[in-house]
Amino acid sequence: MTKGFSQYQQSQLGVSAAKARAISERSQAQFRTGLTAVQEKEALERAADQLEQIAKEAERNARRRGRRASFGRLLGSTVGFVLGGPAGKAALGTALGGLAGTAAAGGFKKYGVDVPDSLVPGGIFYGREREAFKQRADDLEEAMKDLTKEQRKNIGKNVLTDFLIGRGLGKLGEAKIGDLDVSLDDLLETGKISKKDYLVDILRSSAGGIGKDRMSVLRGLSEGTADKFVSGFQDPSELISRFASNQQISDKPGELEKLLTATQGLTIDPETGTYFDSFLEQLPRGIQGTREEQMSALSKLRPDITPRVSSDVLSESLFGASNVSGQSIQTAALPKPTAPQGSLRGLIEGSSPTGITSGDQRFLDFRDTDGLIKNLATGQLTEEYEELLDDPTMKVNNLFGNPKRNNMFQFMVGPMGGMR
Amino acid sequence: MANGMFTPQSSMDFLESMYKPLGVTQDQFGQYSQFLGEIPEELYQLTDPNADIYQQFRTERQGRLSDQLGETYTGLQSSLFQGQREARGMQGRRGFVTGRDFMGEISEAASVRGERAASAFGRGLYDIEEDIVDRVGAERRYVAGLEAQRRSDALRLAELAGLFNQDNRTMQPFDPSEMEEQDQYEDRRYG
Repeated sequence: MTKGFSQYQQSQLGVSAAKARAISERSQAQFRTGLTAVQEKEALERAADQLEQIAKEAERNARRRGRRASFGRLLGSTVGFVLGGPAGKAALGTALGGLAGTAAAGGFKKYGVDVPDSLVPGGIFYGREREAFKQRADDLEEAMKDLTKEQRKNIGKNVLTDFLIGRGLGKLGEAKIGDLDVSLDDLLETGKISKKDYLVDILRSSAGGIGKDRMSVLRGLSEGTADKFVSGFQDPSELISRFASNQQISDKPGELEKLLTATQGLTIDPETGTYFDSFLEQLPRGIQGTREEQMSALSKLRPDITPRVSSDVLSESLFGASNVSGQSIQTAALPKPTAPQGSLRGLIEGSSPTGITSGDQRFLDFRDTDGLIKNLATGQLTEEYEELLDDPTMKVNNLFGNPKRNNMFQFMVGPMGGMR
Repeated sequence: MANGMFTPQSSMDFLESMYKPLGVTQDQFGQYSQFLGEIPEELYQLTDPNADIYQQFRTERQGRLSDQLGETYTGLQSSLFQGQREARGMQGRRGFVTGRDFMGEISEAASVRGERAASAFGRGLYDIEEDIVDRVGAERRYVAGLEAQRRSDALRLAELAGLFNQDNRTMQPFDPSEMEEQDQYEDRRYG
């Protein structure tokens, strides 16, 4: 070939060909990836559409022939719900759930629902959805075996309709079980019951209620539902203490404020992890657990199970030592020479500082931990009461003897770390 | 490995090096090799300055320089002979001294031109080596770019395939010794 070229030039031609091949192969591989992903996604969506058609037909059959004909569809949608999670929002989950009915076709056909096996699309991407689907299908089969014929007959028509669109089951799971102060969703999330048992109980509750025997079992399970994480940290002082000792957190006041705000009553979105995303990741490994466990536990923190933070704990967290004892915190009444003069003075009650007043106005109450944390963390106090900064007692000297305009946090800690 | 040559990796080897430390089994990632382009082995060879192609380049360029130098010397030789003949003629017509001076000037000019030619030859040899170094550098950057693209593609594949789904398998805990092994591997690979 190419007789006119030198040996090196011929080699260079080979190199350029190899480079072109590399670019071309990558392009082809990317195309294959994209195409396969699109095809599989389309297949799943088509399956969902077909399932919806089948669902509508089953609903018509149910009206014509009674509940029995549409029962198989119920099963599929039940799986769909579980696949989509307790919120029951995922359309894909609903679709695949219907496919579960297909996968277990041998068991479902007798209920008169004809879901073709070919509805289950094959593929190699979206493995998580497929794996979840297979698992749920198994759970569903087991669950249906546990239901009695009578229970199956009693499953309400409206419930079936809801199941078909992947919503109704979520509502049932969210509701408290009988007179228990816990829902099936709670028990599932805390691992007290298996997915199969969850399904069985859901279907039972939709079919007229859970029997006495099962209720007694659930009652036993519901005791101490607050899971390991919560029970370990029902006293947030421990959590805060650990938090305070974690030096990796750059914005401690900010994170602490979030923590306390949440534990004092603001609920946490367990899905988005609002408030706790960054905090949880920085917890010491020993108390991390899985992310699901953390979010599940934290989402259950409520004011009624969360004691307020004592000033001791607060001091420990903020200043590194308790205000009961320790070198850096003065616990006794402030000695006169160092007591604030002028319009700003520390309010001393007993042996511990309990607040700060300026004139007749009380700016900060150490016993109001919510407000204290919020003020300290956000600087709200110093923003709202600018005059505090101009008070002579706030202009403490720094270590080098230079007057320095201080903020409230520094005022409380003092230049040498002592609480004033 | 000499002089930091990159080591070729097939798609499967690459997937293994990427996913195995994370606990993904070969069964899981094996089916995804079709979605990654191969990086031709020839391109890896280009990252070695001792590769044949650079030897070819060196030989050809040096050959050209030698030819140029030879042509220059031949020209100088001819000039000297010509000048010598002319000097002899001058000696006969204008006297010995004039002819001798003329010959001296010609010799000196030829010497300067010869030195310049030799210097240019030396510079040419250096330029060839520098050119090779530049080419090797460019090829290494090119291969590194291809590898970076492949890693990016692998990440997207992992996401699509759900390879890091913790529901299906357990992630391997961090092991410092594995990190050391990885460092050693990279040292071996990139020199």
